[in-house]
Amino acid sequence: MAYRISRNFEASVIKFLENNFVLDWNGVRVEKSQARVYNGTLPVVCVQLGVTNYNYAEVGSDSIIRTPLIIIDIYAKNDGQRLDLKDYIISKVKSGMPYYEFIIENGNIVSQNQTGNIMVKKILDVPVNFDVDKDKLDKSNRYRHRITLTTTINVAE
Amino acid sequence: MNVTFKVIGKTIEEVEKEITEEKIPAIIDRVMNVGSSSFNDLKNFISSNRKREKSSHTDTNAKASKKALEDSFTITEWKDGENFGWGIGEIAKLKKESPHYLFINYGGTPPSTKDYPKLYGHFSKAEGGLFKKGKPYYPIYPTRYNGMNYIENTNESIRNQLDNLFKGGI
Repeated sequence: MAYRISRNFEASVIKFLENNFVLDWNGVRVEKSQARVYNGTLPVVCVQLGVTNYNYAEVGSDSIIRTPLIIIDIYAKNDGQRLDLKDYIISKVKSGMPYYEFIIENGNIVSQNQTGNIMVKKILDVPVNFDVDKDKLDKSNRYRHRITLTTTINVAE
Repeated sequence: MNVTFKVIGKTIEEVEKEITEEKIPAIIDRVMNVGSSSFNDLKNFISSNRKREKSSHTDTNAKASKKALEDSFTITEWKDGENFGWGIGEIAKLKKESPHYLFINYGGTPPSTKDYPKLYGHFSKAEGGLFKKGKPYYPIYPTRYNGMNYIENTNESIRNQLDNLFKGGI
């Protein structure tokens, strides 16, 4: 089964971050759902696809260009790590990343072809502050940061 | 290699000249409409992603001061001469009526049992999963929200609308 565009987006960002962490920062898990964040050790980075906006490519045509929102949540061990991870991720994603089309069988990736590049149009990062004393929060939620990326592969569909 | 620059569209100065007095009310209306449309987007987004029945929030007893999250959001609009704008959500109102609004957005476990150690009771299926004080006593597991991300998603919708606001001209 081939992933469609939205899942390819999400999986491509996860693959890109995993590849970078293997090289530069051991022990950072990359997950694609918040439920899995809590099953393991910190630090964790969770990647989710948010809303996707569609704009018509040109007047008089029904071709559209999509701009999905990628939400990257950082769950760190401490405040310093939270900031370092945030800056590290931004330094890596700012230039964009490869876009892959994945083929999946029985939950496993059987092939992946790079068919484009994900361009990052906008970056926003915000510290997640629950307005509650940190000692009242569980460990995973004490030092969190959120990065949102407005992205596109600039391909008319 | 030769590179040629070709100016298409209009310069800022040309656009500025197009903004005549009579066009200003229509421009203000367009910007103000982004507010009301985003406000509706926000409410629809929360409503379509909710996990519990909305009616369970408007029940009697201790939940009387609490509201369904989308009902705790308000839009404030102002027009004062050349100054105009809008804002969605009043923090004080959200804290009072939907104290978990940040946990619902970002995901996580709000502090509950530590703050209210003497809260004993059970969750009543018959009343939409609401917590009821009193017997029978069941263990209380902390609620863990999966992030709904309504703030980021609405913000993106606002950005997209603003980007396209004057594409068809002023």
